[in-house]
Amino acid sequence: MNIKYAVGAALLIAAVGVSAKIENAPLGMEVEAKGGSKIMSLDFQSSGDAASFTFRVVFPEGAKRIDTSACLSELPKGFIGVCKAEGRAVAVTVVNSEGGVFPAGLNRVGKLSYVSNSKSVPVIDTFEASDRNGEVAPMGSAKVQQLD
Amino acid sequence: MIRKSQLFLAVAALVGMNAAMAACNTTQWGAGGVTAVVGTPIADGPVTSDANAALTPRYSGKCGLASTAAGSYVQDGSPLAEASYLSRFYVRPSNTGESVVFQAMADETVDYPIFKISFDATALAFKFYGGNGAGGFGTPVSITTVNGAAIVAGRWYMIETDYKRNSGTTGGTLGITVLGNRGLAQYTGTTPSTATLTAGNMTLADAGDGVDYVQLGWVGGGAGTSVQVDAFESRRSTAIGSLKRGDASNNGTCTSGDVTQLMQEVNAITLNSEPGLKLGQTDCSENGTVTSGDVTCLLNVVNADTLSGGTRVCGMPSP
Repeated sequence: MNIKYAVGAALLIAAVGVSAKIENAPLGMEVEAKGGSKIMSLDFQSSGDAASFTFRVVFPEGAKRIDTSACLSELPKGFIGVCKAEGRAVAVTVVNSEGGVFPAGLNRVGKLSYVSNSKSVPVIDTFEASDRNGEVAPMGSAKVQQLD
Repeated sequence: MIRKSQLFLAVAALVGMNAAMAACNTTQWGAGGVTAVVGTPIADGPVTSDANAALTPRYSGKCGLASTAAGSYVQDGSPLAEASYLSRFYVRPSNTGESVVFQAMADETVDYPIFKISFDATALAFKFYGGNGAGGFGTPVSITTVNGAAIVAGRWYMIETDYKRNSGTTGGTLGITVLGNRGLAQYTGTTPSTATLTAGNMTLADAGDGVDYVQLGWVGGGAGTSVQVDAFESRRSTAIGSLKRGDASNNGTCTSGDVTQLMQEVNAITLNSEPGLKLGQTDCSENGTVTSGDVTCLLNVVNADTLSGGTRVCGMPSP
């Protein structure tokens, strides 16, 4: 984990409230590189009971060259998933294949990259999580933040 | 297997197995005074942990009905001279030649079929025949493809029909919908195939006749290995529609939780554990077996649903 990401992750956790009970939620953090190229890290904040989740990321109008090749590259051991782009949206679905759950706290999922000149931040507009029995797990609020 | 009837505002009932029963059965067939079971169809599920060692693929719930010879089927006598009769069932035909899998009958001095549905394994077609009022049939309408793929034996297909008697003895029509065998690739955009048996192709002996009872299974004809059926439902009005494939929990949606439940069922089948079977539709590929391939299938269906932002549910357009 690089320093920039570590600081960002800490800020993100602070933003969603570490003092309150941690809720299951997908989180994104975007960093802009040169020429409108952007990298968005994908994380899953777990309350400790989630075994699977799915969410959709919608990129700003005009987003192009969406790259999902590292979308699931940082999943913890025992998790499998699929990641697919369609238009300017990406859907991510992950399940535990060994009957386990995401450890409580922030779990890395992977990264998406794209190119856009928009100042808008991507939105996570659809998400759900389930427990190890396949029952719906309580969800908090999805958040995407931009790291300057 | 599951049988539901709303013809008499009956409470929808799970037929075949519930938590208190350890074996699949056909006890809720035979209403209306007809014989429940003709021949020797087998009500069973995909594990051998119960008393019946036979393995029967099912489409939904824990049980299905398998017939291994012609003349083995179940009957429902709930209808009563129905002028409007809608039914939906799933069939996985593994017959050779042409086998009748469903027949709607008029209960008269001499009973006769109003219409029948067959699977023709030579033509690879579902055929829909109107009766002539005297035990014979006219020229059928056929459905040979679903979503661009040829119909094949050994896969699950939903067949929904909408019978309307209309006026006179030859005014009857039959609306037909077939969907199934979506395999591991058709995650979205699946369109059912439809056809209609138009007026003039079904003749009643008397204009007041209607559907009095129905037969489901391997009713007759053909040879081969088996005909399996499941998830029968009938009504007087309102289209029934397909069950949601991949909805392992049977709650009407496909989520990542259904993928977890599906993986649990794959393990349960491997371990021959009946309690681990799910109540929904786990055979995502609709090929008659529930395996790790169905996990891959459902992962992709759930992901495609998520990608749609709510416009698709289990791969189908959201109502």
